[in-house]
Amino acid sequence: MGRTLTLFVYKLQFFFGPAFRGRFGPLAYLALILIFLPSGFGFGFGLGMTVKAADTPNGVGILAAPLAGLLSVGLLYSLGAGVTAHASEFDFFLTADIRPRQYLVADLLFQLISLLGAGGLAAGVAAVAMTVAMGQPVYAAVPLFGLLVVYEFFVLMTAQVLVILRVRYPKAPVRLVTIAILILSLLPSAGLANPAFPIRFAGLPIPATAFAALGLAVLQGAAWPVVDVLLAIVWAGGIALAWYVLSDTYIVHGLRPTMSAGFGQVDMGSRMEMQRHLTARLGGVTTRVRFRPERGGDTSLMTRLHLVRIWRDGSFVYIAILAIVVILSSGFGAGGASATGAVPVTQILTLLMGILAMNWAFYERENLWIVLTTAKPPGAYFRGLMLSFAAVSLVATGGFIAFLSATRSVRLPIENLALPIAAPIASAFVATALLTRIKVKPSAFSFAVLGIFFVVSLGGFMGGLAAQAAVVAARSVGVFAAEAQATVLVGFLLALTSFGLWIVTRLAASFRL
Amino acid sequence: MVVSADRMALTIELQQLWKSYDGKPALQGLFFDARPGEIVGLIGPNGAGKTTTLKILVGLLRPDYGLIRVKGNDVLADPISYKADVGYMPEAPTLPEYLTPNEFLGYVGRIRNLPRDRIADRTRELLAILDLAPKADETIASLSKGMKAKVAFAAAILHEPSILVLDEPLIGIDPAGQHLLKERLAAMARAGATVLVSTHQLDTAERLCGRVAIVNHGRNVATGDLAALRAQAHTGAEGSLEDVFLRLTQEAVAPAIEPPRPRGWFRRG
Repeated sequence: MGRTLTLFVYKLQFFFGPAFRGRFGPLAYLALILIFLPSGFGFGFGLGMTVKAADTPNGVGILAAPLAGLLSVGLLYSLGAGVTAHASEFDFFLTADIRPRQYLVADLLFQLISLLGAGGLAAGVAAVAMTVAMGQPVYAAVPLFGLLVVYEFFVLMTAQVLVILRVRYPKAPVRLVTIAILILSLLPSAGLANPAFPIRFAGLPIPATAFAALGLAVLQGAAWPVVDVLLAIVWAGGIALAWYVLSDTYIVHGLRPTMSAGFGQVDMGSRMEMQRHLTARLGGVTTRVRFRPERGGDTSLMTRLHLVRIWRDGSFVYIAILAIVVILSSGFGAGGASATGAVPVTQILTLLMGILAMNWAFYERENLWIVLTTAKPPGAYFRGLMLSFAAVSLVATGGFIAFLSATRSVRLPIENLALPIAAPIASAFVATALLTRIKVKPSAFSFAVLGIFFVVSLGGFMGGLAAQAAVVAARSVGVFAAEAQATVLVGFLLALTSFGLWIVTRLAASFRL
Repeated sequence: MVVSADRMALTIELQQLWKSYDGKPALQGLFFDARPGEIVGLIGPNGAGKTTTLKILVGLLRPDYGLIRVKGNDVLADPISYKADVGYMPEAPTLPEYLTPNEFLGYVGRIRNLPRDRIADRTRELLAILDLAPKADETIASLSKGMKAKVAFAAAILHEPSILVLDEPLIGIDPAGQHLLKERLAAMARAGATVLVSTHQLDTAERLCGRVAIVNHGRNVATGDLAALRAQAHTGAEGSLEDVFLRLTQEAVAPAIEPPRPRGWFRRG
């Protein structure tokens, strides 16, 4: 256990140490945790109320959807890395005579502890909110939270097992199987949106259903269903057994650095390395989408450049999968036809924008020397950045609206759609404006990192709400026809885009690398 | 302000360059100049201020104090238009790895305002000269370090600049590639371009550069052709640039001095 503990402590110190030693110490970390509490409470309460109103099979489905989403994120993670390792661990620890199981245990503990550290309190608050919404005593949140921790441990072990299998049997189609499981685990979520969908969580002998059934029993104050207890034990025990059998396989040669920096730090070198790895691997496939520099004006050139970058570096695929996973598993369908359903989707869209903005700041900003050493001002570059961000996010919005059209008979009014349509443009504008000013430094705790995520999200929401207000105002002065309201919305979007491009151009004029 | 005819002939003129990072001096009154057709080497130990100087010259950094003229124009007063004449290759250049060399040079050509047919011709020509033609349509991420350096070099000379600023251009390039690049630089200088090269490869500097500026701790230690440097270092007629460099940079360093007080709002001399 000695070496395992040393590795575990190293990972903890590496990841959380900078935040604690930073200018704001643990306060900054605490601030980050507290920021998530209101949304944790809101999510838990909303979920609890929805479950309360549902019958048992639907209640299981509503709880199983986010659990299936959690598993999908874990599977997605296993497709990339599945094990958290910093480059320094490769150089100094994985070249030592450490047994694979020692390393994997340390990694498993680290992942669980860091996840609980980052989101545990919010998850706990969500559990409390669910029990409150269901009219249960607050202490019922304890077994509910316990179930979540066990499920999370199961997800992390599954991800590690898949990584070990991939390395041990390089010719076996492990990735393909992982993708298949990922899709299958998300598929029943569609049943929440469309009752006619044939595959539903309830009745499926999958881990998400088993744990959701146990969670529902806790929330209803009922006895735990024996079948689901057994099913949960079989799944968790089976994965634990597989993990134990496989965990002494030598897998170092099949790993690559994933943990690029400590919490709040930005390790440009490792991130660049990861990006290069991804770009080189995807290059052959993605160069089919050609970048034609000889065409179009300056802004068009830069927009296409950024779109090609987002496409070829894998960001697009990543955020598309993330959007699908989160939209499907957010229980949106279960939110019924209410207007509030658009809010979590908008939040996801703005967070995706935050990811794109961070990606730019991490590995593309450095390339700006190419533009800044020419006689052209960088205005077109940043206008292109804003338009590309907006375009990518609007594609996700389009997918969301298509999903709505396909699964609902009732059409949402335009004022509700205004939020997810305008928010991408507003958040693209805010993200680009921020990127002209914020330099993400490898500091102990960078508020720039938080700033990008939260200001972008906030800006997106404010823009979306402004668009919604414009449409509502139009209705209040007698514009009731959907076509006329759509015209008002389009006019607002054009004005917002023009304003954003103008501001970004002005900010870009004084950009410094 | 009247500028003398001698000064008019200078393509690059740096005077009293001061720059500090978080209060730590990087440049302390550095100066040098370069003329058309000249290859000037900038050499010095790690942290001497070479990269800072070159970044200031190409407009990526702003000095705390000093004067920078390119072709007689005050760069700090007009920090944009002179860049049309300058090509730059940074030390360890970061490139958009998601693009192919063909696409990247096309992109650079566009932002360098080259006519579109000229971009295609120059791209083809440079990729052929630098042995990159077979890799023209593969992503830069898949190229070796040396090939990436060649792509960066091609981008620096794509628009046929009359001033070329290169920061450690030969790192990671194989001997044949280094030979190719050095020949290209010599040819550009013969055609009248001014080339400023920062390098740690002293034998290369000795053979390639007409004049060399040795810097240490952000200050000039010596500047001149090899004969002048030998005289200053007292290494004798057979002394190599390495002997000169070691002699001059290992001498005791003068204590740090206070930078001149910036005048006016623009902190310029």
